[in-house]
Amino acid sequence: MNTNALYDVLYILDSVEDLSAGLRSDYLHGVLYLSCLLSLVDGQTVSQWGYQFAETTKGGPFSDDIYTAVEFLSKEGLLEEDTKVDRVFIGSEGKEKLKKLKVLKTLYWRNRFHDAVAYALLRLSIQQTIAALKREPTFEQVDRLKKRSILFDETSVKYIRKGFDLIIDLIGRDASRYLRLVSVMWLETILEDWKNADAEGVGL
Amino acid sequence: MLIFLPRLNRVRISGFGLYTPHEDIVVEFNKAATCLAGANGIGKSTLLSGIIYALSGVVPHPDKSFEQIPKYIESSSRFSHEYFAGRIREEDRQRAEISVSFYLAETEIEITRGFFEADAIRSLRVNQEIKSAGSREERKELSREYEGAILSAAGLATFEQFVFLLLFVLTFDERRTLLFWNEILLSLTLHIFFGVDPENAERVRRLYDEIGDADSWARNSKWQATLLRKQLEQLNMPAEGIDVGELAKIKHVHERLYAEVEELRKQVQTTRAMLPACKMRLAELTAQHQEAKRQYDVTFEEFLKGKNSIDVVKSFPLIKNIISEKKCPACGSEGADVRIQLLLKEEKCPICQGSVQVRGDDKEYTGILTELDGKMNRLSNEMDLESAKLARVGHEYEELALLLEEKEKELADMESNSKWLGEHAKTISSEIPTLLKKVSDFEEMAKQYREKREAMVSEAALLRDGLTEKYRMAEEEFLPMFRELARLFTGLDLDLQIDQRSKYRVPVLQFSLHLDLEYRQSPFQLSESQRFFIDIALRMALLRYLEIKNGDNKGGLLIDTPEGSLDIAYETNAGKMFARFVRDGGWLVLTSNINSSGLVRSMARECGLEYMKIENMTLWANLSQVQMDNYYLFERSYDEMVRSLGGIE
Repeated sequence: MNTNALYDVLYILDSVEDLSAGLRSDYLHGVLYLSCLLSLVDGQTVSQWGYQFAETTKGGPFSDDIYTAVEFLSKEGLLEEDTKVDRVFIGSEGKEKLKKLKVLKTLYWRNRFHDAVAYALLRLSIQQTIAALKREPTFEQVDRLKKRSILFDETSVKYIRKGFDLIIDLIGRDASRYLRLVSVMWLETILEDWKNADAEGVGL
Repeated sequence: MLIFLPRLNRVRISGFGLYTPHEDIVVEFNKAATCLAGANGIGKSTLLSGIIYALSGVVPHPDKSFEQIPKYIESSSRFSHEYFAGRIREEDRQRAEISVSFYLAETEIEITRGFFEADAIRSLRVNQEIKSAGSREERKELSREYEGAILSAAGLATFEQFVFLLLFVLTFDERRTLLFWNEILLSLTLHIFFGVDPENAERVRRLYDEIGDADSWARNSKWQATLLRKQLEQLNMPAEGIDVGELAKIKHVHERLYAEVEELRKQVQTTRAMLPACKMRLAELTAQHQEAKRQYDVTFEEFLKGKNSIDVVKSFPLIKNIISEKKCPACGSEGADVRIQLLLKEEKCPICQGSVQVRGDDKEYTGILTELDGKMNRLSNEMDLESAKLARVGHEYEELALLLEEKEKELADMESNSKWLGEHAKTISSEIPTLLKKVSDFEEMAKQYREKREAMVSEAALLRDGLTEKYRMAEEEFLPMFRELARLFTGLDLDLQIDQRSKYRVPVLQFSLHLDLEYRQSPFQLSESQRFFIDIALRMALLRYLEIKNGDNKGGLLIDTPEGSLDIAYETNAGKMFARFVRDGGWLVLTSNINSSGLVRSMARECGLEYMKIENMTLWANLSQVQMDNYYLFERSYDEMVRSLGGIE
């Protein structure tokens, strides 16, 4: 069992609780993919993050570690699932456990990436955030080709980082300190580019 | 083959001016530890030097560094005259003598030597057989007899080996060469203690000396040939005469460059040796981190498990019913609940008897998680530091290796290229044939010396391989002894690794030391007191190893005022280390200042009267007026030491 994935699932579901009545399971993978992406942009590695994401024939981003974590947490009664509408929520016991885990240094550093994602969801809505992620060029290319692939290779991380660099240059701030702001701007830029391209008739 | 080392029994000194007013001074070494306590300048070190002199005819020269044993013994032997001259009154020169009685295995030997007759002996007693010598020739003959008696009782190959052990292993004086960090001394000692045969150790000793000599001759011959060749090469140039000053300058540059290359070789070896240690430590840390992570993952998962399985089983309706009704719902038998409770207590399911896990409470898990979390973070930080260190050492090694390559090339160029000689040479065409012959002779000579040296290096390397193997076999017994003694002093976990090295082309062995996993190859990476006491711990462990190998050979050390480098806390630890050695069967004679006796007091507390005595040397000597005026202070300090022996503070 991947402890990072277990923690991330609890943390992000707790963070979005006020915002949304639970998360669709594919959205859950998507928002945690964004958390991981922000940590890579910030200079961490996938190995530090602790688990990977893949594009599968059934779509992506998908992480089997997150999938297993959700299964386990649900079985242990820490998550609740509404199978009719495909939603997963954090339960009260899950919240209690999460409170105790938040202090661990091994996990603590991840919080700010999840917090930035939660902020983006608040500012843009979940649907828009996921839409932006799916239009992020490196992901879009893999998705378009329906290519089974492990995401976040060295080249794609470099490319994504470049996109962030443009925003950092624009606001003249340290990305690490203004992570929430920078990530929202980055997502908005992708959406804007998409809309513009669509308006010009070249969008996909 | 077994070797035996001396165990002191008694010393008697006559006519020794420093110790007046007493005529004869007698010290009985009838306890495992004897502390010779006295004021400054009273002759504590002199007494130890006297004992060594009686046994060997040598007083260790404090300013002579060790190069070759015969040379060292020769210069130290001459030094004994000078050493005792200032300490013995002119009128006592003839009658001043020292007698030492000691055991070598079962043999008791008593030897009397005049203080100014290093190569002669006045009387010799081997067990009950006493021999005295009158004339100088007879005394020298008796000295040879004594050497023979030593060899047969000690099982050593030569008397020089006995002297070597006395001077470099059995006597500790912080002003002299430390055994642990001198590769040559250490290798010779290990050959004696761990090797198959003392004859082999003697062969190695000769090889070491001869390799050094051959190397020096090869270099000299090469140098001579080079000089002559330069002269020849320049015979075509305008004659300006050989500038002797210039030649001397060039020779000086050559020597400096040679020394630089040797020093760089040493540095490259040292740095290279650090790399595996860094890698090993990194691997160790990674393994520890991985283990902590494994425990963390398991605990994490357990923590997240919501329900306690045993509670689920207890709340199962059938079981709940039996417990509350206290009888079987099927047949109505009474007492069914007792059996159910028993099975639950054994953490078994009462229906299928499968095991049921009992989960601890959250607090228990978060406690473990927090602890593991801290541990993983600490290990991660240490791993980062170690990775940086590995990178730094690797970089240093590459730089040094590159520099060495450059310097070696420079040296080779200097030895073969004419450019460096400059333009000063003498044109004497008539000398050409003679010069050519000389060049060829010198080059041939250099070649022969190099070949001889290489053959000896190969032989010494083979013997070193054999010794390495022997040491590894002995390590299981030896290493724990060393670790235990060194830990008593340092309070740290120590580890020794035996490394094969080459010093000035001589194949040697060296210990690398790990203090709490930190690699300390150079003595300068340790504090002064750590250096001294790790050295003493090594000697003690060697003696303990020999004792165990030989059955009942109680080895011991003479230690000269060891507490100089210590603070109070370490004095206590050093005392404990010494006491452990003594209580395990070793013997010690140590000197100590009467006013700085933290070490002695700690040792006395651990040893008690059964194992230790304290000799007040202040009673023997003429004190200065200041010392006389404050004599009560000596008495008080001495009393404190003696009271510690009886366990009274």
